[in-house]
Amino acid sequence: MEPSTFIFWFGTVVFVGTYALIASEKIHKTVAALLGAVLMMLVILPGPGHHGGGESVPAPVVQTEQISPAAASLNQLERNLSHANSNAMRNADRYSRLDTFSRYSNFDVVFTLAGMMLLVNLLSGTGLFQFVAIKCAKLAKGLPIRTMILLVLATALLSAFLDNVTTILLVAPVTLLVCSELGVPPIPFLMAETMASNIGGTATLIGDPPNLIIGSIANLNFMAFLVNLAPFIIVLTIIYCIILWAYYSRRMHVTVEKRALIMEIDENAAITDRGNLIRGGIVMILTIVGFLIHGAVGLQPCVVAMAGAALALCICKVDVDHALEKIEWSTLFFFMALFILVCGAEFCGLMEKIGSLLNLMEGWPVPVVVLLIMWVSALAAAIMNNVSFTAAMVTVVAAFISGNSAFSGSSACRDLLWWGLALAVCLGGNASLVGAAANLVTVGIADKNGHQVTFGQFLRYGIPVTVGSMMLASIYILVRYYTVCI
Amino acid sequence: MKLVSILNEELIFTNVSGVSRSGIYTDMLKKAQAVLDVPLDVETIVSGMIEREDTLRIPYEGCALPHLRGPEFDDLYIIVGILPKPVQLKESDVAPCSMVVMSLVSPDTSDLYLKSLAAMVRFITHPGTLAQLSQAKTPVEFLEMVRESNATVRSNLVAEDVMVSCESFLRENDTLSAALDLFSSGDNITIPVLDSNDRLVGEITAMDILKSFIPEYIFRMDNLDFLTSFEPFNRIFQEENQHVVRDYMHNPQLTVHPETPLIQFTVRMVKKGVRTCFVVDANRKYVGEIMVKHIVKKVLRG
Repeated sequence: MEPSTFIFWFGTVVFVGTYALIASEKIHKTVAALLGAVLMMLVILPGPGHHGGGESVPAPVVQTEQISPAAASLNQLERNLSHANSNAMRNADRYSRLDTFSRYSNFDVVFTLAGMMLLVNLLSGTGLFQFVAIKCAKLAKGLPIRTMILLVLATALLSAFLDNVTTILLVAPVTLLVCSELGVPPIPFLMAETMASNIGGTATLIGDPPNLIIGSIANLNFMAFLVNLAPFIIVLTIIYCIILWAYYSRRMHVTVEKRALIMEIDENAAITDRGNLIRGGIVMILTIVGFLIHGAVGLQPCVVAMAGAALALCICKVDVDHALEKIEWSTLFFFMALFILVCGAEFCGLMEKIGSLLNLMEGWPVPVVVLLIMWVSALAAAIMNNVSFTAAMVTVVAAFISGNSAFSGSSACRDLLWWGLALAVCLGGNASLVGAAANLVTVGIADKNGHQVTFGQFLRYGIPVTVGSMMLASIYILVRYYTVCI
Repeated sequence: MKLVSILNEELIFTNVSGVSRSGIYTDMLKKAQAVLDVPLDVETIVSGMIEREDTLRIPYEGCALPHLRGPEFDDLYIIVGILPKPVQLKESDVAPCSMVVMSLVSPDTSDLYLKSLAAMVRFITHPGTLAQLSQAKTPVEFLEMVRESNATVRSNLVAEDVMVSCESFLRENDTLSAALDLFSSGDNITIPVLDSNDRLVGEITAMDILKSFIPEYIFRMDNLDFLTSFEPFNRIFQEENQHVVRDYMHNPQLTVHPETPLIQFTVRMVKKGVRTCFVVDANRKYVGEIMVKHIVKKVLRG
């Protein structure tokens, strides 16, 4: 067997096998991803002092400096070229000395997640999120459908700025308490909130990990996500709430006595640390401002997130070691391993083969291509988890864009495909239990509290929401195409 | 080292008089003072011993073991007194005492005292030994009995020396109601669960029972200050007779053998944050339990 053939098949088996292991949940997803990543590094991916089975990876493309038009003289031009070349060599040399993890992991995504986890952990310790959830129930005056709608809105809003899993972990316990006090079944509430967290997370760069991955690869900043996706997500959330209202308003009723129990809960008592709430709140606002301008000032999202985290650790009175311990290291390692795994698949030629399937659409109308990729992506995200799918799919889509004249020649069409992909993977995650991490967390919490949700039951909630939201997303993409791209 | 080697024939008194704790201790000390070179402030020592016993509330069962540590003593003095007839020394005593083993401990002999005390306790808790010793007519006869028993002072304290034999235990099929009754009647925070062969199969704490009736989501909230009216405990009243211990027990956090040295089980308990460890034999048959308070009482204040 030719070495290149062996590498292709080895990489394919490792990649597909690892994804199957992750989806099957037979072993912890982080362990599965790490195993796959290590196999890729051992056999395929070259690193310093190790050349693997393939040819060495070229250094990343180094941007040569723009030569000022003012530098008209030949000498000046030569000096500029020489300076640019020495910079390029220095960067290439630095790249060659990078360790394997640094080469293949997307640390922009990893550190953005880590920074936001730190910030959210600091804020959650103040009782802010319990306050919000209780306030929603009290504003609804204990009426179940109003409570559900307000909790859904709060969850969607929080999810836009926090990780979805974190949002669910903070909101679900209070929801269960409220449902217990009202004597209503908690599953509809929890399901509605989970779907809302996946929908709300779609609105921003930091709301859902797939967006972070897409933003990082497609070079789309926070503001771009906010401008292009948030308005649609707001409309979608409103429609979602109307449907919830129509479906559940006549199905849930509670007595005055039970509603009074909710009204007696003192939401202000949920705030445990006002000092840290104010300090952490200010840092959070500054961080969001940082995200709003990071594209304009040329900062990576991870720098903004870590700056916020560092500032919060500095000014909030917390045990730093404890705060660092609360970071979800398992999630971060999962992401790191996943990126390496995808690099391995790219290096062995698997992604190119998959991308060639997309090339069959060469010459097809742009809206058809985008919608087809969207619906297939939504389906795939629902089957194999949206984060895992996105990590692989972005590479394929990036290759497809560069090789397809309709997309490479038009930034509007190119961006349209990215927005379509972002909508598809985030909304597709709602379809099944394994579609998004927040789904598994919700079902886990429900199960531990005596409310089992099977895979099939989840589908009964997830598929209508996903199909409905994907139809609306398709309309949005079509409207955008005919208004912006043409 | 043999136990008999650290006993002094001159400090064994078979004719102790007195009908109260104070009178008996005073008589023994006065008799000892006549033998020892060191001056003894009898009144102060007796009041110190009694105060200590009352503070620690150690119930005696047939044999009293008073002691006092102090810089005024230059060595370890073990004074044995045999009472003509058993006397109830304290209200809390399990049985009247027929023998008193009094220890005066110098700062340098604390370690030897603990080991000899452990040896003495092991020796007199042998069935029939205490009754036999109480019949000794002379110090020589007493010492002969100790010599014949071959009782030894171990070089280190072991689990057996510190443990207590606990009467409270549960079977796997006992109801939660029985468990709650045991928790409310004693001061145990952990109760061993034994199978039909008295083998240790698990342990249950009151916390396990309370926790199982509190919804899991409550534990997910960092702050419960806002929660005042939520009351999950009604379920316990309703269901305590329907649930069995097996469903609520967990594996013992720490088990040791009777020969496990003090330092080993103490460090393990501290390291694991365990307040109660169980002592089992080679067949995992339950032998006794050691709580942190037993280490404090028997080793640090023994």
